[in-house]
Amino acid sequence: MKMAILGMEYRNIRKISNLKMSFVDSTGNVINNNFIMMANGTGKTTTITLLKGLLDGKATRWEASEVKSFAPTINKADTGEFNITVKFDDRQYKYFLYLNYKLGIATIKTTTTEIGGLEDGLHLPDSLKNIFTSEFVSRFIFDGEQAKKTMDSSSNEAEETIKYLYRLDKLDDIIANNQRILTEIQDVEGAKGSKSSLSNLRTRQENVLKVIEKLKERAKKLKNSIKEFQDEQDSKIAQRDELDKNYKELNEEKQKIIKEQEYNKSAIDVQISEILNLMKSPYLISEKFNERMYELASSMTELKLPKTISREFFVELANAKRCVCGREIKEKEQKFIIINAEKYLGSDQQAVLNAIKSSLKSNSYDSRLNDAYIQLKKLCEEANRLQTRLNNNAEKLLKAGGEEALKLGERIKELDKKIVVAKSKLETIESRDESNEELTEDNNIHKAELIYKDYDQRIAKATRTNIALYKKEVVESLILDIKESAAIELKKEIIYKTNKKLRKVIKDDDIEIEEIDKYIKLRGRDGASEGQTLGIAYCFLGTLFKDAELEFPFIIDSPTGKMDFDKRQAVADIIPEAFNQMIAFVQSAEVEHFADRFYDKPDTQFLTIIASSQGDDVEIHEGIKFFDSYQRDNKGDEL
Amino acid sequence: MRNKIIEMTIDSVIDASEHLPEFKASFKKYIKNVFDNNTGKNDLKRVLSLIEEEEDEV
Repeated sequence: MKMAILGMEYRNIRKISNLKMSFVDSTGNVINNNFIMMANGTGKTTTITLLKGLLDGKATRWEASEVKSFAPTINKADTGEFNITVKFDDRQYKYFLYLNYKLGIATIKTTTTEIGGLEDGLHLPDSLKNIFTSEFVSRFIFDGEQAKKTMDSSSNEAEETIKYLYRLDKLDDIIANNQRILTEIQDVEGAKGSKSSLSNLRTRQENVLKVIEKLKERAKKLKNSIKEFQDEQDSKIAQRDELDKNYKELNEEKQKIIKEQEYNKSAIDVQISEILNLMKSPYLISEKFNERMYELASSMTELKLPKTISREFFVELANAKRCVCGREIKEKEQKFIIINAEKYLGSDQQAVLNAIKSSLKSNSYDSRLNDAYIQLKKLCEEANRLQTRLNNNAEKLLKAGGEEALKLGERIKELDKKIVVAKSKLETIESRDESNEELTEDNNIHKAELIYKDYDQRIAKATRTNIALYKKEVVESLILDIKESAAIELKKEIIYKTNKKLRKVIKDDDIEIEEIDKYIKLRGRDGASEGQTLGIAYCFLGTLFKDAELEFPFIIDSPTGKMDFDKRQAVADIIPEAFNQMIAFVQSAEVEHFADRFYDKPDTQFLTIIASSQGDDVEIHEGIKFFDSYQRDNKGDEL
Repeated sequence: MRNKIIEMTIDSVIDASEHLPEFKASFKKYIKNVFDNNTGKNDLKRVLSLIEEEEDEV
């Protein structure tokens, strides 16, 4: 499935009374690279908001105040309209977003080449139904915030993007279809037997399913809450850090203590591991303990020979003609040897005891473990001292920062508690620990799923459809294996290709993706600069979109952001390769080393939207000439 | 199918299973058709009918 945007139209929206942008050439072919320079206040951010709201359908749920905020500033029109024409493979769809400023209501309508008339709501091709969520739409209507999310540890953005773009959700459809077939068979077979018992089992199974769905929904909400709490906490910490900067000396001391704490923590870790290692030698635990072990060894009875092995020796000796000492062995000596042999025979464990005895005696105490304990104690005392210093410093900073810093500090602590509580609730829902008795089918998804499967078996038995159940399980298990293996293989390939691109984009730093597990994890570092983050996101998305099952346009607001010139050039080479169509809303500062890299490329158009010289409206200028001269004249004007 | 990794994974997982060759071939084709939006209502039922029945289940 290939998606391209053919055009956009605005009517009575903020400073625009009428504006039309086309992304097709004179022969009707889609133009691949589109650069739209919009001067400040001409509607760049507005366009991105309208596009997202229209394509994820959320515009219909906008607050009245938000709808009214799009009201024109140049006339008193009561309604506005934004529409886009989209092509999915060979089928054309036109989506309308109607804005009623008087009532504060937004409505969406669709028309297609097949239907002709306008239909309520957003109608997408069947194969795209259910995937145009706001998260998904944000992956191809892109801004810097989305880039940050791919590396945000509290988000599963990277994993979700892979799932949708490679359509691994199609495998879930097979599982659902498979279940439907089994249910149909069981309905037919169940009708032949006792209807009430089948219906009873079904009801109970459905109830378990409802609990599973409820728990999944609860887990989703908890994850969202955790993310919101963490976002708010990050922002509050940033605000507090900003305040702290005003108090240079205190802040420098704070940073020094934090560094010392980090050093102290790693020293404690090393010491603990050393102690654990030394504790494997018990004679080092204490001098007294070692002495007692030596006494134990000494007081052990004298060495005896293992009974089962050595009895034979005495029997043979008794039967021999002469003793080992040379004396003749007669009947009397023979009896004596057999009777007294018992004195020299111990149990079979004797050999082991001898080994222990020898081991106990051979080791001697030294002070290594004791020294290590003393050192650990010192480090722990140092940790306490550092924490006290940090607390005092925080108090001073709070006092210096006044009421605001105090409030921020309290809120950060409060959010900490909320995060801990939400994470613990989430752990209860998602744990797979079958031995934990506190987990039940009412509070844990895994346990509820086990009960659900048990009902599968009981229903199959009641309807004599064990074979159908077996076949359903064969298909389900293969599909789950494919889903898991495909995700693993795709991630490996994505990491490899993204890292290859990254080496071209970020040449001045050693940045590499180590793993994709819900989000992108970098090797040996926790984060990257703003420009680097944007570069990583483009390389990642570029790899994903290029090999994905679905081909999308890439609509970007301020694509280069705070990127330096080197990275811009590299990104300019990656994007056209990865996306089927690019629509970039740029500022004049982004032309150099980015948009200008496309000046000689065919299949590229340049549009400049500026305030009209006739009044408050906007006007559109096509072509490189105006685009280039406008950027030269206005570079640095943007906020 | 556009993505060769997914296609190869489908083949390797199904080939490694111990089922009848007819089932394996049909199931692989069916999954790839799902990705290409090219399946009929009863296609999965036909695939299921090709799974061998376990002896102790009969």
